[in-house]
Amino acid sequence: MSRLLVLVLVAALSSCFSFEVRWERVETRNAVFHQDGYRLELPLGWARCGNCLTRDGSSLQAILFHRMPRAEAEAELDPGAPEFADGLKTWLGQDEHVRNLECEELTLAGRHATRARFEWSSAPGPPSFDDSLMAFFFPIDGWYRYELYWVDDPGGDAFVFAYGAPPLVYFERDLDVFERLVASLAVDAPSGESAAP
Amino acid sequence: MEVGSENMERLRLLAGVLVLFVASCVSGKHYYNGPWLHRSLFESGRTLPARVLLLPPHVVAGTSGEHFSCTADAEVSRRLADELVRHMGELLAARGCFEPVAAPALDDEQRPNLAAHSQLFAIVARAAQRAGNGGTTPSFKLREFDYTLGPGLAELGRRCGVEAALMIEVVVIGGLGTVVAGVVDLSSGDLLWLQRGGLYLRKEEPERKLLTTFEGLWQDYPGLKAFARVRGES
Repeated sequence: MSRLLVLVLVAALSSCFSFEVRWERVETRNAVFHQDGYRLELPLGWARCGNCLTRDGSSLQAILFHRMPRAEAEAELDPGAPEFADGLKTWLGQDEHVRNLECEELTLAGRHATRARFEWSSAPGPPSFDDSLMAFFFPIDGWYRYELYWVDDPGGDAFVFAYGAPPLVYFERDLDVFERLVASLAVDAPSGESAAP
Repeated sequence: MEVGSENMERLRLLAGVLVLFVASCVSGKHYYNGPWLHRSLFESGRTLPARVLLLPPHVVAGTSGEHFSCTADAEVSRRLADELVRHMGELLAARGCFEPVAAPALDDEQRPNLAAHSQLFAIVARAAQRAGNGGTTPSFKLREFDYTLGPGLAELGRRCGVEAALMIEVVVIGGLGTVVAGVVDLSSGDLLWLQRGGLYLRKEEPERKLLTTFEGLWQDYPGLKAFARVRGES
């Protein structure tokens, strides 16, 4: 299992693991997530639990987001390195459960970013206790398509966004939602000036 | 069968029962066991289909090995699938749920498409049956049950002159398993009806036990009133 995805999963998991996952629905347009010095515009009608978003259930499709301190990021891969995209590709490609992997560098709202697309045999969202049991006792075969953005912040940290869904029907249907969320990333000014909630 | 796998199966079963018991005590949840019905059946006057194509069931039967790893048994899986194919039409006709239509022989182009949709059905059904049961599926999905497999099987429906198909997913590991059945609208892919049942296959007659469990799924078909009630309470 790729450590990067595990990190993102663990970060999301730590914010919502319990016997009862408490989803909060995004009920209004322009609803935002604003914590840890950054803000994102949340998709209307989706449900959020911590750093995880889903429309139909996170074992089916999920968006995960996480601000990764530079030291933590560099322990895995140096996002500032010019060969980062190649490194990410090599790193993800080592996982035997990853296939059809592509990586490219791009610019997102003035920030340097790396986008990876691949398929992975694990469900996207952080599991609940009951779901883990189901998956453990009654595993099902299936591939999920993922899109992952690693966005460099000039302030030093990295932002990791991951979206996963089955390749058939679901991935394309909700890809726009994910890309709009990534594009909405706004980082607070270093002075700690707070934005509207 | 691997050495010690029988003990592992018993251990797996015991661990499963214990963990589920502890989980239910701790969480205090009441589990909703289905059926689940598409929201359009309540909101736009849609009706359930009168004729349904019986697609080949997807059956994975296996044994549990060392460290709870699972080893699929192709022979047992095929035997169980064949048993379902042989009898499900007759069972469904006798129950009068709908007119079952036998699936045609599929060509080399159609088989991978059906396999991809069967895989999607397994994933979607896993999330859909969490609706109303907490966990990874938000609770509002019980009221807004709108899962779909997309229109990828529409051509099959046109060719066979039917509007819907029955998809079945069976997973049995170490004798313990689940059967999930779904009625899918072929033109839109909407999952109209979904039901699941638990399985414990005794070694002596697993085929009969599977058929009994499958038949049990249809006991209260379609269960519109029961679902309307829980939907209203959600």
